[in-house]
Amino acid sequence: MRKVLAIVMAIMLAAITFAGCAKPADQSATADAAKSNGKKIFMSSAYYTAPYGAPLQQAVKDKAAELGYEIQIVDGEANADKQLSQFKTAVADGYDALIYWPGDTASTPPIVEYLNSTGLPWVALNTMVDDSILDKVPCMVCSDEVEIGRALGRLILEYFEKNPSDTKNVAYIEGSPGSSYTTHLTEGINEIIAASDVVILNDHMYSEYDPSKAMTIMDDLLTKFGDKIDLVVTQDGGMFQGAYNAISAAGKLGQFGIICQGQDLIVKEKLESGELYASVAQDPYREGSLSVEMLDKLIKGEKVEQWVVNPTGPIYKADIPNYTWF
Amino acid sequence: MKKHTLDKDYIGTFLIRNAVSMMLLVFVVAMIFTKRSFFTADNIVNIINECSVYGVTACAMTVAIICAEFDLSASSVFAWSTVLFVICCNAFGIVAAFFITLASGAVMGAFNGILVAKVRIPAFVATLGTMTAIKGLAYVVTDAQPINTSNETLYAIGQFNILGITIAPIVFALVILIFIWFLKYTRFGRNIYATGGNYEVARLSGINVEFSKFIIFVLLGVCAAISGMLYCSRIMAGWAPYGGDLSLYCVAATVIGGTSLLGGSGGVHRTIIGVLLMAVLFNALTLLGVDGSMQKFIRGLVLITVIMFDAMANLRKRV
Repeated sequence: MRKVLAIVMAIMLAAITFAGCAKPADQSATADAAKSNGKKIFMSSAYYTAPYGAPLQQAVKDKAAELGYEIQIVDGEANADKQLSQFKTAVADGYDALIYWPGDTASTPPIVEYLNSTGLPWVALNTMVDDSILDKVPCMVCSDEVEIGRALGRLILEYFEKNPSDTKNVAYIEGSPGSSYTTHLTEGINEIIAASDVVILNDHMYSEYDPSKAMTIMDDLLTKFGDKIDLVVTQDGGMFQGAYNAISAAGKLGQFGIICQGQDLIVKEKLESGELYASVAQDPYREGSLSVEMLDKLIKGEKVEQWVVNPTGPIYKADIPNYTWF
Repeated sequence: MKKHTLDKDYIGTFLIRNAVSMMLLVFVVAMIFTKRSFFTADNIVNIINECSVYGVTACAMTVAIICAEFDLSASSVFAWSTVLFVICCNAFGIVAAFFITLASGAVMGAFNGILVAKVRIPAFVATLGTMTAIKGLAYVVTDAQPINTSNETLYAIGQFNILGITIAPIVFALVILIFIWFLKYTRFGRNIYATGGNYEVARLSGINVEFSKFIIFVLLGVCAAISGMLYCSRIMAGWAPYGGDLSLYCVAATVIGGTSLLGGSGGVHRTIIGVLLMAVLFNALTLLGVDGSMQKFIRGLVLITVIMFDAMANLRKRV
C-alpha cells in the first residue's frame, strides 16, 4: 500500500512540476503569430469560467498575439481582494499593461485607485466601474447594458405587434441577483415596456446564468402560469437553452414566442429553425479584441475614447451570417 | 544495524510528517532562483497581506476540525458581515459597525452551535442550511445589490501599513497567538482535542462536550465576521456573493497544514503553513505565467498530494 501511495505521489509531484514549468500556451501563440514586441499584458478576469468569458478571453489572447504582446490571464474568481493582489503581483513582476474585468461595480474604487497609482496603461473590461470613479478610468470597453435591455424591450413590443393576442404576458428569466448586467438589462426592458400593456408575469427569477437552473425555473413557470404565457424572454443564450429544453419537454414548443440575448451556437441554431423569434447582440469576441486594441493605443500614447461601446442590436434569422457565434 | 534502521524510520516519518513545510521551502527556494521578482519586499508583503483575510477564519476552522466538526456557513457569515458592516458604517460609524458585526457573527455562530451541539443535527446538514439562509438574508437586505462605503476612517484603516504590512496581517498574527495559547495552555483548549479525539470517552471523562462543540461555532462566527470586516477595509464594499470560496479554502488550508479531518490532533501553527503554502503557490503560478485554468488544476493536484502524504503518515503510524 505504501509503495502504491509513493508511486502515486511521485507521479503527482512530477505532473505539478511539469505543469508549473510548462511554457504558457499564450506565449507560444504570440511567437507564432507575430514577432514579440517584448511587452507583457496581464489580465485579471473576474468571470474566467463563465460561458461568456471563454470567447472573450480567447479574443484577448488572439489580439495580443496579433499585436506582438505576451499575455497572461488569471482567474480573479469574482473576488475583488484577490484581483487587487493579482495586479500587485503582476506589477511586481514587471508587466507593461493591465486589463481589469471587475466582478462587481461596488468594489471597483480601490482597485481603480491602485491601477492608476501604478502609472501603467490599463483598461477596464465588460463590467462598468462605480460612478464615483468613472472619470478616473483611462478606457472602459463594455456594452451599454441598459441599451441591450432596451433592444430586448423593443423586440418584445415588436413580437406582440406581429403576433397579436388578447394578452401580452411575458415569462422573464434573469441572470444573477445584483450583477450590473442583470440589473441593467431589466432596467432597459422596463423602460421600453413601461408605457405598453405588456405584463411580466413573474417576480424576479434568477438562474445565475446556469442552463439547468433556467430549466427548473421554466418548468415552475409553466406549471404556475401554463397557457397564460405569450412570450418567454431570457437574459442570455445559456438560460435560453435551459428554458427551451423545459418548454420542449412540456410539449409546448410553438405555443408562444421566445426571445433572448446572446450569440451562442444554440441561439444560432434555433434562430435558423425559427423556434427563436430573435436575439440581441453582445459579441464577447469583439469585446475582448477591442480591449487589447484600446490598450495597445494607450501603450503607444495615443488617445482613446473613455467608454468604447461594444455594439448591440437585434439579430434575426437573416442576420446570422453577419455575426460570430460561439 | 538496528540503530541504523531506527534512524531511517525516524527520518522517513519526519520527512512525511513535515512534507508540507518542506514543499513550501522547496517552492520558495525554487522561486527565488527562477523568478527574480518573487523574492522582493513588495511581493512578499503582497503574499502576506493576501492570505491574512481568509487566514483569520482558517484558524477558527482548524479549531473546529480538531473538534471533529466543520462549518460550511463561514462563507455566508463572511458575506453577511461585509454587508452589515458597510450598512452600519454608513449609518452609525465604524465603531458601532465593528461591534454590531462582531455580535452578529457570534449570534450566527451560536445558532450553528445550538443546532449541532444541543439539537444534535450533523454539522454538514446544519451549516448547509444556515449557509443558504444567511446568504439569502444578505441578498434580501441589500436587494441583491453590491453596496459600498466612503467612510473615511475605514479607508484610513485600509490604507494603514507598516512597511507595506496592512492591518489584516496584524490581526491575523494576533488571532494566531490567541488560538495557540487557547489550544495549548487552557483546559478548555485541551478539552477540544479530547472531544474531537473521542467524543464518548471525553463525555464519560466529565468534559462538557456539548459546550466545547457550541463554543467552536461561536469562535468561527466571530472570526468569519472579523475576516469580513478586514475584507471591507481593503475593498470598501459589501455584497452577498463575496467570500463564496471561504469555507472550502479554510478546510483546504487546515488539511494542507496537516490537521487531520478525523479530529483530535493538529494545531493552528500547522494551518499557518497551509495558508502560506496556498498563497505562495498561487503567487508563484501567477509569476510563472501559468494560465488560470492550469492554475486550478495544479492547486487541485497539490491538495491531493498533501492528502496522500497525510495518508502515508497515518499508515506509518499504524505499522
